[in-house]
Amino acid sequence: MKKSSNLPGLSPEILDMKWILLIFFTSAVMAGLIYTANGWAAFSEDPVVVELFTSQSCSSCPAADKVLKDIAQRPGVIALGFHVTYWDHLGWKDTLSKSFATERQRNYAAERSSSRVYTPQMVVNGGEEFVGSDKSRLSRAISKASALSTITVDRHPQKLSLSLPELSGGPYMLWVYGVRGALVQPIRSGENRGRVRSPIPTLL
Amino acid sequence: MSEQNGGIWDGAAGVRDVDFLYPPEADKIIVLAQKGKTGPIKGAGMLDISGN
Repeated sequence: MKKSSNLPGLSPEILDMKWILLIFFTSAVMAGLIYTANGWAAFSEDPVVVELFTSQSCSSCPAADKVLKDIAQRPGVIALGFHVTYWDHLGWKDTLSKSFATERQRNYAAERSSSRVYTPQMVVNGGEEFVGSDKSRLSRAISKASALSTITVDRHPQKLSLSLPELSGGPYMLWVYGVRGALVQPIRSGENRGRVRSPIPTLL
Repeated sequence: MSEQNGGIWDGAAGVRDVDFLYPPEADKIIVLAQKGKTGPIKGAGMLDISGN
């Protein structure tokens, strides 16, 4: 004996089909929130800042550079590659390394009451940090990142004009960076000698 | 060196001018508003200057 539907006008077979479709589409939507075709979390176009501390001298860094290069294509993502200096003692120098990059990473470590710095390290919105080649971790970090307020930047000769929104919880430090998107330079020495690395947005 | 401290911002809405020498190779200018030197980032802006 067939079960009768409690909803007027709908047979049990139609109800079953509707449940199947509902479950299917709900699963698809939920999956879409975590992975898109590229395996990245889907997120809005609110700005999110992804910093990568990297080095031409680090054999683990090319994989992280690739992750940063890929995520930089996403709308709303501000991807920043900081080349640190502390591998420069190995007999040759990372041509993109900057002392301010090293200082920034050490300050992040100090913020966590740690003296440990490493490459490749990724930091999302100045908070969550993890190994820079961990795509799934980055995906989750972006998914749960708080929306940032947007600062509008206008350029004048030798000067920038910043339109700042109302933002509670201040005061804040304002940092300004010049960046070259998709910068790649040949690596002539060290562990990555001759390797082709992904061009990443790099602090100049 | 292209990192520049744009000063302390109290969070009030408004317009602020910041002196900035553009590295000639730069094609983007990034601005971050951060708690302390390396606390949580709460605001960000980007200007594409690749056409200039």
